[in-house]
Amino acid sequence: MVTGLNVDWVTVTVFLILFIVFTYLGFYGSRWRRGDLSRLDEWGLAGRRLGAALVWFLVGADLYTAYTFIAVPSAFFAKGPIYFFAVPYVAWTFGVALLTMPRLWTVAKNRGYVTAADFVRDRFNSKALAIAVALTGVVAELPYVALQIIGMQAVLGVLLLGLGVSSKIVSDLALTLAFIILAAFTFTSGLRGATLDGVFKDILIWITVIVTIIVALVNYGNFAKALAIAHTVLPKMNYYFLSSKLYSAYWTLALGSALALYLYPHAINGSLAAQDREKLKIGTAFLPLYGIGLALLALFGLLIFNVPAALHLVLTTHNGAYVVPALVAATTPDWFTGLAFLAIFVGGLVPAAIMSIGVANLFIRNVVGEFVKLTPQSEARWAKIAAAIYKFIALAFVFVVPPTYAIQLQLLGGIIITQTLPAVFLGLFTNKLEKYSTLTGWAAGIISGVGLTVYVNFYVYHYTALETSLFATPLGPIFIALIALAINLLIAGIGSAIAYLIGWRPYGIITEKDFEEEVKPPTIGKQEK
Amino acid sequence: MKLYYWAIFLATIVDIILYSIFPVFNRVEPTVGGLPFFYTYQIIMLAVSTVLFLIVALFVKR
Repeated sequence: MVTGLNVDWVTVTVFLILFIVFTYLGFYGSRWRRGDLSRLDEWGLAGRRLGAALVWFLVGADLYTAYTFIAVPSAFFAKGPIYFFAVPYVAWTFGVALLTMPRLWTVAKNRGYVTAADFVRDRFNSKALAIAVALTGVVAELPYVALQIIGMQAVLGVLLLGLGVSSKIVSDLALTLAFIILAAFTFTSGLRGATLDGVFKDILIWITVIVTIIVALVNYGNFAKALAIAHTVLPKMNYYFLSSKLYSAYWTLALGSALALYLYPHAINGSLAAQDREKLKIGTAFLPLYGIGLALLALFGLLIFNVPAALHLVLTTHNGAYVVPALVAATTPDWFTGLAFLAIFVGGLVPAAIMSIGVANLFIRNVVGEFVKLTPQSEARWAKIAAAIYKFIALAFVFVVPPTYAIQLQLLGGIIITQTLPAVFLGLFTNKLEKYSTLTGWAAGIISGVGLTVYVNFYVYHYTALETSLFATPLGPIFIALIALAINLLIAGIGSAIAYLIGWRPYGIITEKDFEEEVKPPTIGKQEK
Repeated sequence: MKLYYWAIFLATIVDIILYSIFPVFNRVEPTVGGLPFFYTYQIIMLAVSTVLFLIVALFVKR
């Protein structure tokens, strides 16, 4: 039994009751704004019917994940202010989203696209590039889902420690059960279930963040006290400000991550589910506000120094992932801890559902669909099955390989997903990029990004694992995703220029009008039936 | 819509600049509840980003 944690059977009961509500909402989704769920856009995009508020709740629930809630405070606690780069990152990423997603939404609506790869295929007239974009999404998303599970394990870990049960089997069983339920309602309700659960998750997360920070500040002392204690406990750390040597690292990590986020299938999937372009824009513009919750959670990594029981648990277990759950359990009553733990737990499940939907759409439409002719019904059926399988692959991945591997692969995932930027984001604004050049740029970006990461970690620093994604340059440390992207863009640009000189001309199946105004065809959906 | 994309591009650049002026915000004073200015500035800028993006999203229709 770990002392000082307000975890008991009341906590477990509240957790379970709220999990039942979560499950109910997930299944109820299939009847909410009822649509023909045998169609892929009805199942996977909730019929493209979400208003501004639901876009905010869904995309917020989707992007601010359990892993962010666990990993950012944990990294901030361990490494200091450098990890506050998550804040400019989440501010900038919505600027990037507002620049790209309304255009992607419009062309997708006009031309019936469900994924970014659908668009790339037509824009570049290239199956190969579409498959490359789709597979990059499928591969990069897997460690992301795996990390959700690791975030959820941190919550279960503190819950079980508090109860005096220290058993990996109990935690694994609980996770497996949760994933079976998640897979079942994702199969039946698709994005509708995830949307309702997203609203549920967001409300609980905000209650958790606000209540915990107020209780911790009022009962345990302010940041000045925490900073002073931090200085005595960890004298080498400086939480007061960012070392000027780390400016380039801070800035490039924020920029690279901001460019990458809306290339992930789950972010694009959430945006394409909007009802119209204006609602998408308004919902997205409000999303930096959600980042305030993330910033406050990061500061839990500092406030924990005021709370001896929580600090003791983190330092003795050497598990930084316990920062947030330990702080919550030590400062709030048992029932509230149950609510907060469930909030973080479903904070992992909701993104996992949306990620698996996004990946399934990509894999079935843009990979399998390129080789096998699928009817709309069989396409939707296979996507539902693929989404379920993908979740269990991620779960198996977490059970089989050590958590550090998932974290390393997530680091690589961020670098490789960035390499789809020329095809997806630049493709939205120009048709002057030639397909073979863009594909070569993509390959060069992935090879150089992965190669540079391996080189830096194993040959420069002689680490035994991938620990850093920064490359030391004369300008200071730079995020490798951006270096690889520069190589990628250079090749795509020069290659396209050469192609143009030897007579290649842009392919024009998508017109400027497809991006600009929503053409409202007379209810295609009904005619098809 | 053309104007909108230029406006949101500009807003994003402004937002990037707001978070790039390290000498302005990478400091301890003034503190709020003991929290260094480095943190409070960046949190406040999230609200500023929202306002900046909302202005473009709501008012630039062309």
